[in-house]
Amino acid sequence: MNHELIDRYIYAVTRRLPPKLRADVEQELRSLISDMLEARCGAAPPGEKDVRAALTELGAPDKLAAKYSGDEGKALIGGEYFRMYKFVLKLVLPIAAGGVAFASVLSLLLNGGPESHTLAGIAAAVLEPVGGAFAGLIQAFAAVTFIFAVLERKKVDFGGGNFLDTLPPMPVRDERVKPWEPIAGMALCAAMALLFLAFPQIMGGWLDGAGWIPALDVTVMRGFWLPIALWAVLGIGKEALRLAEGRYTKRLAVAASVANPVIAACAAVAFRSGRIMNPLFLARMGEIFGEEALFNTLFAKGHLIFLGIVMFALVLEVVTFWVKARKYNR
Amino acid sequence: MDKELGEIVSGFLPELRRGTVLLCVLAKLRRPAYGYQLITDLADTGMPVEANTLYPLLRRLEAQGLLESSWNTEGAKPRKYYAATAFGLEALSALKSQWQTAAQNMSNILEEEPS
Repeated sequence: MNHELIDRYIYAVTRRLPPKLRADVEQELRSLISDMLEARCGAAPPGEKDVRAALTELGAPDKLAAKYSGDEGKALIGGEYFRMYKFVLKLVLPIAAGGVAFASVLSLLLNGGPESHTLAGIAAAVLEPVGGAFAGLIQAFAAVTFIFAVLERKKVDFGGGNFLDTLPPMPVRDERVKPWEPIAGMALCAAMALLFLAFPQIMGGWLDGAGWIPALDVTVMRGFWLPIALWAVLGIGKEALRLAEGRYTKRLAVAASVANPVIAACAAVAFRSGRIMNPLFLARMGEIFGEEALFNTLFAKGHLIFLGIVMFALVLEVVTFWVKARKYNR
Repeated sequence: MDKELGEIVSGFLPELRRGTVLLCVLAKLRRPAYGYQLITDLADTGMPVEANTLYPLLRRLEAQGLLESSWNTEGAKPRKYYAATAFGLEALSALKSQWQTAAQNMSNILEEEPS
């Protein structure tokens, strides 16, 4: 029985089979199809319609090939591991994205940061961490998937036998957001924006003979009004969501994971450069502390120290939100 | 209602056949047969199996040592004949007694007076 459609069907079934099976399966399928056609048409030569009907009855070649090769029902990550896979992904992906975004903000800082605090400069400072976070996501996804695919293939057993002694404890129900926390957070954001934009001069020191000397260069500081304002708006928005949710939900954790890298970028734009420090203030401090290099460094790098604390707080917040959201499974 | 009943029955039959097809095949292959012969034979006795299930199954059983095969090229077209091995016959008698126990238990359950 020679027919082009039959040849193509058999080829489609056998081409992915192990070579030693291939010829045998091919011959067997050929005689099966011939038998099927004979049963259908008797002695009369089978027409195109009969061939199509017989092959349709045999089913899709990929499915048949899967049955022959014993791959039927196999998966890269099967049901047994899939739930743990999902759990690990949900934990690892935000951390990877946040971590890489944080690292790219840091490297932006160490390399002197974006050229300007214009919109384009801010956009560049935001895009780099976002792009980095995306790349981090993909790498973490690939790594976790690879590990679980190996577990699946080796059918690793995670001590499922002794499940009674490893039951998790009941959670303590303290997942509620205390309302004063987000309210204080919003107030802090507003106060921060007000302080840096309206009254930067009140941060400083009183020196005998010189009077009040601001620590920051007021004009330069006010030049950064856009990133500071964006920072405040995002911060207040995030706290408003925390207040509205009332619980540490995944939604809140996602919002923080999105907002905090942007806030970090804004903070970096404003505080990466020593230009915002008042040179007069640094000079006077240098006179007072003389050879005390430690204090001089502290004042001269004051803006970077502040930036570091902000970054740490932002990362800590994202991690905390995720841990709480996971813990209470919302 | 009838449609739902039909769905329940048509969902039950493949489950039932999946469990018994091995027993059917081993029993039939106490005498050598080729694949398509087995298909028509089983269909005639009311235990139909689809070709795309049976052919891979025959191969798997052969790999497990339950069946052996040989090509017969004397007829008009070459055919691959399968037959139960000694191990296959041993497995058949073990499965058969399992089946008989299960069938007995099932009929006890189905016939018992509701309490």
